Amino acid sequence: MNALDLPPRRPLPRETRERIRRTVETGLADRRSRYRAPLAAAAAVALLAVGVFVGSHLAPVPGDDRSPAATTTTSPDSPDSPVVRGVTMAVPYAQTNEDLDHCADVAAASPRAGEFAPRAEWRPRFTATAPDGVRITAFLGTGGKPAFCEVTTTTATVSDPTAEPIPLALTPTNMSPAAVFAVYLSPTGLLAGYAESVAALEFTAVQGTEVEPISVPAFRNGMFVVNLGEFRIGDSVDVIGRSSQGLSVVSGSLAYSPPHLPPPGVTGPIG
Amino acid sequence: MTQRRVPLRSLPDVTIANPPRGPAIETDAQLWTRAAAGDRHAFGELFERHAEAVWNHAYRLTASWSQAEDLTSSTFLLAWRKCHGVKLIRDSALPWLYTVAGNLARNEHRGATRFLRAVRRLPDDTVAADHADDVAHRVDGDARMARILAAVRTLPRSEREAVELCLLGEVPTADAAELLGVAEVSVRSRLSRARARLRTKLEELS
Repeated sequence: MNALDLPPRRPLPRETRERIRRTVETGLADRRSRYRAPLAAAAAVALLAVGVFVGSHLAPVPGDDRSPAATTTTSPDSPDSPVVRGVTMAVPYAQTNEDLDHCADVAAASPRAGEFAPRAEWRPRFTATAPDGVRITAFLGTGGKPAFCEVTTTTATVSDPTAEPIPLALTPTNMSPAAVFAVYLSPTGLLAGYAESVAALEFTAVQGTEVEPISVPAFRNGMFVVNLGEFRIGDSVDVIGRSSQGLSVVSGSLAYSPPHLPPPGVTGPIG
Repeated sequence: MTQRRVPLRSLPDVTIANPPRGPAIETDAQLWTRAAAGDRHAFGELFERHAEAVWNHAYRLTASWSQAEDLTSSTFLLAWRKCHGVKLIRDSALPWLYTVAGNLARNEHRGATRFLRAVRRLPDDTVAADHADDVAHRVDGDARMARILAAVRTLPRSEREAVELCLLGEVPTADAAELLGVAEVSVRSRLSRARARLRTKLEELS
């Protein structure tokens, strides 16, 4: 070729090769204990998780932000069994507003305060709580964009208001559009984002030939929170979006690669 | 004490009946099979063989050397994850690695361009953010490559896949056909149509 007048290929500089090699080697070596479950066991848990998930979303409550339904799952957490981590959505609305106030305070105190919409314009959607007590509130923030507020016992973090969402799953352009995007990944492994034209979501952690379903995500008003637990280089998570008839309409995956992950949000101590 | 120096030419000719050989070079398929069984050394050998080619291809998919580095890392990490279910074409891992890189690069770009439509469909969306500048900034670097990529991205998916493999990656059409699961004549016709479209588009862009 070259009818396109492509620039010529270049020799790969040694330092660049080293950097790429280090990233890849780290990814291969960094194996998690939570992925030790054999495929058969993981598949069995996948069936269980899917069953619970479908059941919990048969009666969605569109637009009802004040009476969130509980979608909790738990499982044995022994060294020999896969860890299935759930999140809970049964949080009092007052708690949701209090958490958003914490995040608004942190945003206002940050150098990027001007990039956030005023607190009065934040429209909460739901709050999900992880087993360790960390809460994430989904809300519509700057410019009506999906945003997330994470509150721990000592800190509050609000997702980057200007960051571009990371695509997890997209349908081919010639099909009716459905998509799943990630907006925020917390240091504790809570992944938050939104989905388009999807009625239900399923997540599966993948490393090498080992897979593990990640239980029931909190999913309402097109926004979701799912607990990945540890999520490191070499890991990835598969996502399937289903229609209200249970058909798979979109699927994709997110590999742990720092340039392709949602950026950290704005963090500060609670009042 | 003086040393007696023997000129090399004075040594008698020696024929070595069984010259020593280095270790046999394994094919990509052999390494791939071992990697699929969890052998990281085999995967490392594949990396050393193909990193440069994948990196160059990644540049042609992104028009950015920094993005090419990230894309190369992601391609090999995904390859490690997926290698157990992959059948190589003509014993070379390269066409498949190019396909992985192409899919990763394509999803990245599609995510950027579809973001606006997505946020506008969310409830209570009053003011949609404009991320067009971000999209433009992704396609930086070499201006010529960026123009080519902009033109390639206007192609229908089937033609684009063929262009990425055969024109950008210089994969033989027969190999691309096998990889894409179509007849070689289909790949050739897609390339023919794509060349015509690209010629027109590139003229517009210049």
